[in-house]
Amino acid sequence: MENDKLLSIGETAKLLGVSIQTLRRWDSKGVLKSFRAGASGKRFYKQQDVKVFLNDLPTIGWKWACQTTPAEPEKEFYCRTKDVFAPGRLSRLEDDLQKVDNLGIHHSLLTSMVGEIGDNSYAHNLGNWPDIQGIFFAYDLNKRVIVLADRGRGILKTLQSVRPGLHSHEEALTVAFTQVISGRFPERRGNGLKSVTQNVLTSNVGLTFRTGNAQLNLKKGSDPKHLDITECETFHGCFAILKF
Amino acid sequence: MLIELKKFGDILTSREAGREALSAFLPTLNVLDKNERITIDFQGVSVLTPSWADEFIRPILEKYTKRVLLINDANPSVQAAMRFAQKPKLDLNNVTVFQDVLVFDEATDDKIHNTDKAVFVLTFPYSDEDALRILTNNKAKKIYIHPVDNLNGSRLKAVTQMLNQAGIETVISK
Repeated sequence: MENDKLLSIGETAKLLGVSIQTLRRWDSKGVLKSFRAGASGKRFYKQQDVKVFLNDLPTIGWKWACQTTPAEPEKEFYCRTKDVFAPGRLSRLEDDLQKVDNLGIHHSLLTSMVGEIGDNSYAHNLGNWPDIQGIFFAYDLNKRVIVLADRGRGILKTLQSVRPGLHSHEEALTVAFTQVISGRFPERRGNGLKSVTQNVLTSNVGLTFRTGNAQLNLKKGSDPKHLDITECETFHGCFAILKF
Repeated sequence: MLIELKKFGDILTSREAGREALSAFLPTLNVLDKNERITIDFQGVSVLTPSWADEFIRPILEKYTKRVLLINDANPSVQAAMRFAQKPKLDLNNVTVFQDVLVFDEATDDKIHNTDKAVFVLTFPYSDEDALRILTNNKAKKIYIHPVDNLNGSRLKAVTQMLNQAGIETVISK
């Protein structure tokens, strides 16, 4: 599939199985944006945007994070450097979230959570990326999902520099999401992920966060003293899904 | 002095960006008169993260304590970030025991949280010696101990003994 190819509104409607009216409504709401091309001012859609719509972002992100042959993600999802992520694409997310009904949380708080998770990837892997530098960042407002992933060192390795007593990914997840601690010695602050926990516990946003072989499942009503952590396929970075 | 945060951007995220903003602003801050007040204006800020606030706002709050006034801070992300930018108050009645450190609960305040219920949060980890010093300085008499799962029995015993010897009654709870 050629990613930069443009599709007419009719072709797009057919591919997605929705009416042209629905596409127009999605366009005005920012769910799936069209482009005006040529003198006629007709709406066109980028084939890549439609492809994203047709594909499941968590699956794409997860496949990228744990694939054995390292490769850069598709450029639409790739924030190689921090500035591309924030304020860059994070700013666009904040604008887009304002158009979503019943978000279950104030849009600024959701953007702040995404910012903390994404920034964390850069801060803790600066100069230490094992293979691919940067993060995967994508969202689908129609499916109400935001995905972030990195192929960095993971939380356990980062925290072990200040907490050598940590031995498992599960312990590392618990510390990262419930304690104010930073893996960046001698900095003793680490409010970022803890604030994410607080926001999830008081909103209708669900968080799945994987690192190493551990998966944290956090939602409103979860007990922060006994986090729900299960086992997942082993990989070396971090992977997060926010559902709202 | 008026600090208009929108001049640093409308999406204020990341520790690095906050630190950079503070370094750039320090020369301006250093010419402040002895009793001059500082007003931090959040007007125009769409998103503020705790990390940015930690690096830019926390040092100002710590240095100029009662001379700082916050205005136009109704944005929920600003409220949440400011909640973290202020020093946590330790709840000296509850401590979680880890294999290598002790972590007090945070004394939460419903009003600050702006939610129906205060949320449990942990604070900084302390070494056993530091934690004991905090407790004795504050004349603690009784403390609830929460061992983490799979905590080594001898570790729990050592912590209990340390506290009891300092005259602090301990109650172990899961």
